[in-house]
Amino acid sequence: MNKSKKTLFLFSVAIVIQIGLLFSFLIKREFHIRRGTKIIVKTVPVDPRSLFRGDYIHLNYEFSRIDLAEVTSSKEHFYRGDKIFVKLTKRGEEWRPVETGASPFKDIASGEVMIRGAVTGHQWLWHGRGERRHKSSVLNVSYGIESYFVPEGEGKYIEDQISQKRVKVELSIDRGGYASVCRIFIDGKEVRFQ
Amino acid sequence: MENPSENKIRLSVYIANWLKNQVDFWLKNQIVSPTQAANIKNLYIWPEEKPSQVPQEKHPIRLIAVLQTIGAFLIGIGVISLVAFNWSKLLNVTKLVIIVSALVLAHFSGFFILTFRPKMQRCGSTFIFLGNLLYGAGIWLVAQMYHIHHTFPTGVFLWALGIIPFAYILRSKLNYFLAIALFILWTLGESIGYQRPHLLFLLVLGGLMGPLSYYLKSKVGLAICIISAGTWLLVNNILWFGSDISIYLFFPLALYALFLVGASNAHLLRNNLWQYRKIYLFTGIAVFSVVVFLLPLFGVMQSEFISPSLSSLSLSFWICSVVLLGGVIFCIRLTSGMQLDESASLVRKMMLSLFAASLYILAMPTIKHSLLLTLFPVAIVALAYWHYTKSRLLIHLSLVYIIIWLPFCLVQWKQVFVLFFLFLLYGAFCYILGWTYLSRFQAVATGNLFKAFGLTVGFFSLYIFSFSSLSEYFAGEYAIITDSEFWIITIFLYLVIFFLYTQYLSTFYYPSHKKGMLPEERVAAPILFITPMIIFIEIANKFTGTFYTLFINFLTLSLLIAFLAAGYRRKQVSLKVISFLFLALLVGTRYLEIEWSLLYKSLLFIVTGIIVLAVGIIIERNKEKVVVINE
Repeated sequence: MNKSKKTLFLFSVAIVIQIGLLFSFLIKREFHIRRGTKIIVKTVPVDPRSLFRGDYIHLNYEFSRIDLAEVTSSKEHFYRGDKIFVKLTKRGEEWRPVETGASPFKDIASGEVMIRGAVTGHQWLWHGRGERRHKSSVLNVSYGIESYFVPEGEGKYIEDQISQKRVKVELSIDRGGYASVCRIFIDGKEVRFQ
Repeated sequence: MENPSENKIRLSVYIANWLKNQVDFWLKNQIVSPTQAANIKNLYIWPEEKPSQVPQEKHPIRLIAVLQTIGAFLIGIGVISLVAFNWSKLLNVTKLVIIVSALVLAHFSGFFILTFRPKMQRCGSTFIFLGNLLYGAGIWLVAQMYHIHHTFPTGVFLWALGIIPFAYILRSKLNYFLAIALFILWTLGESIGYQRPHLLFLLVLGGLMGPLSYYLKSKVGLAICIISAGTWLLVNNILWFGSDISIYLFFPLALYALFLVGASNAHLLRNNLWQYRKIYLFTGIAVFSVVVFLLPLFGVMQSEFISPSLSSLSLSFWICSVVLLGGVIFCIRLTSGMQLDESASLVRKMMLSLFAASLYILAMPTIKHSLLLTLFPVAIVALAYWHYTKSRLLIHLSLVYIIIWLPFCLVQWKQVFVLFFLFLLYGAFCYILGWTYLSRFQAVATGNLFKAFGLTVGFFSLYIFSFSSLSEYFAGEYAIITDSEFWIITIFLYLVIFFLYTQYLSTFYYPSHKKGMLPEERVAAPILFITPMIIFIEIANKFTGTFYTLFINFLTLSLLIAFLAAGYRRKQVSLKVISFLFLALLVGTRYLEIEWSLLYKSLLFIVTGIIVLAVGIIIERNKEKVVVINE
């Protein structure tokens, strides 16, 4: 193989690597969504902007803030940056955290899902009075599903609806706990941008 | 039995090269006999190989390269902005197909230009650079399609990783720079986003980017690796400390600077490495200068920002410091007993004073919370330099530097505006002082150092004043300044500037004086020292509206362009680098502030990028024609 052919071969490999990285990332996300369990959760959105990806709605979930005193936890303390697994169970219309741990749960019953996140901060919360006074750790958790990207300027529309209407999000969570945002609803109606 | 080699002196590559040439010269002129020459050579332990004369690489900043890179960069940014606009009229799949096709097209166009048009190398590299930017746009598109979290450092990592094969295969420095810039962005996202030290970055630097910079023979790339490792150390130190900012942060950074200075000498051991020595030396000096330059800020801020005790420091801090200290000792040991050239032996002699200055950082908070005491490390280093070289260069510079901080010692400033006003005025003062050294004493090194120092301080203050919100804040908090020290210093500085300018510089112009002021400098210099007064009047009278912002930005931009032009005409690297960095900072900041629709922004970038790229290609093609005609 002469030098220019060898370079062309290596160059093509480099392009294949690049496209491979791009599509492996895409396929992985698509796989998570297709194989995942769909759940619908309540959210409180706001409308900021990302440098590379434009306008998005920042989604905040009820299980984004977990009081360790209210759930079963295999670990007493979590620190910023720690990986966390949260077991959510459906109570009526809502999904609530019931258990947290540092490793994946093996016992996921029907009506339950496991979601994987990272601790972004924690505070101490005081409970009770007098001798019964005790503190518990309240965690802020990020699951990677806090952003919903919209065409430029459209995020404002959803933000305006929040005060009057209920905004919900459909999530897809796979067996490993990886979650993705699928759709967004206002008063039960899917929002589509045309 | 005594080993005869124990008494021999080991020579560094540089000295060995010099001595060999000298012995050959003596032999040729019959000053020594062949036996004597052999005996002389036998006195020393010589490096393994004969030091090769490394050809001086010429890196002229060519207009073609600059134009084409800027053009490709603008197109790439335009496409990324277009992705960010998230145009709902196109399906995601269509967008993805367009991006992937464009990136493949750009890559192959680049490759075929490189292969079949050898005289259009720049153009070929630029197309591949554009392909890599489009690859980034593809990543952000996928991230947007799947609503992946807005802080997504893994995306930046994937982007950088995909560029590395191109940098390696094509030995492309441009793509290497893009990759390293992205790796830095990645580590900042990981460290700041997750608030935890991000050790993987050091692995990428040490295991991938550092060796790659040696492979590409990129001294700038190596310097970026070294500086980013230092920045990593600073950012992650903050994370190791928790949320407290402490003066102790500077200790590992100072040790890192010492390690770099020591490593510069260690590069003399091998033939193929010694050309990189100065990169380590200069970056080491730069890191150490940043440390000593910033130390007094803690003195100005007073006790609350200075760590209370050494016991508050984390284990990781000490591990990091001990590892760096070990590195410094290792580097010194490597060259111990070696005959070094002048600058390398100066480095070896200076190590002790640099270490004393670094150690002083640890002792500083326990001594007293005082601004004056934070200036002590500068004095140690300057005196040591004078002691070993008899040059008063650093003493002059440190005196001016100490004078800059002195007002903060005399009075407790309550208005932040005063700080930046004085910095701006001191910047102009140092710049004029630099010119005076040149015209009066013909001291080129000292003069240029003062000019560079003055411009850095001055441009930094101007950059602060270019923010409309900050200027409004300064105007809001402004109260009549009654401190006599402030007025004495201001009037004194203006009188000195006026005296120096009229006495030495009014007639010191190019070409009648070889090193005199260029026309652009003759215009820019007076503007530089009138500007503080204009800003003072505007802030004091609370004229900080749109006109003020436009005026200051225009003024700063004009000054930066004037000094950049002067830097190019003089071929003076320091002037070019300082002006260019502040120009990029100013333009970048203003761009981020503009609230245009992303669609318009992206179209503007793409169209401008195409025009600039086309101009670059036309110039390169014409250059090719000229070469053909000449042949």
